[in-house]
Amino acid sequence: MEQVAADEKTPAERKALNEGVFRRANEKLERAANDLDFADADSLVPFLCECPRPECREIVMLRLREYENVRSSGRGGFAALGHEDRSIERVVARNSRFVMTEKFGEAGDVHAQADPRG
Amino acid sequence: MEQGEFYDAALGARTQSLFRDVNERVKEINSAFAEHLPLGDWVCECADNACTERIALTSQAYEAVRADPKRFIVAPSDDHVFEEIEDVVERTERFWVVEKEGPAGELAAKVDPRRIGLRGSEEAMHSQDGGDVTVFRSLSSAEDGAGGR
Repeated sequence: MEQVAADEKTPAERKALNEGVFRRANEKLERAANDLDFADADSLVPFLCECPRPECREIVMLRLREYENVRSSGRGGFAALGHEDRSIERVVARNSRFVMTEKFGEAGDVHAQADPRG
Repeated sequence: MEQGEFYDAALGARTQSLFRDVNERVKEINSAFAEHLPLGDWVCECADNACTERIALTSQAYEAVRADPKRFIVAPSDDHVFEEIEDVVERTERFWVVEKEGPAGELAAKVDPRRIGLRGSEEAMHSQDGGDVTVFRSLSSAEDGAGGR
């Protein structure tokens, strides 16, 4: 995984790139969960919070169909409750485990362009 | 070993293996954000699937545990040790290391992502070698609700 360096990027761009690091890790975790047969409808799978703080390692439990719903948009993401950053994203859904977010503006553009699913 | 005991061991190995994968991803994130993080922040790999306790340890300590596919890092408390399937082999102030024994250990080793290149490593993303994970198939139907590993 390439290193995220401090540079001339805007704060919104930097936050979106940070969230992209977590998104790429979560894509691999989804594959792991499928390989280990956690694909049934009710199993909760541990993912990493996709908030923009580099030091965050919060575990968020999602069902795989919830994760796929998040990934259906290149601007989408999720975060532990209270970890959303309203300067770059709006909350589009919420439950007792996580908030589903959609990035807007420059952060949304950067996040969508870096979407590993294209 | 009774069939029920085998299922318990397999469930424990399966869930601990998934949390091991979480920490393999955490390792990548720690590397990506290395300038911000002097001490890595990892996730307890115990056999309680509801546990999300955090553990601070160095990358070197993490790598030492990962060198043995039967070993897992857990929070430093008996609450995170399942004596039926593992022994504590190292105790420190910040974390303990458990070693899985019997079938649970064998299963954990079989799905070690560092040995079979499974589940997301860059070089294995397009590999045809899926590793021997078939042993975990049908475990879901054997689970009686969520919670147990």
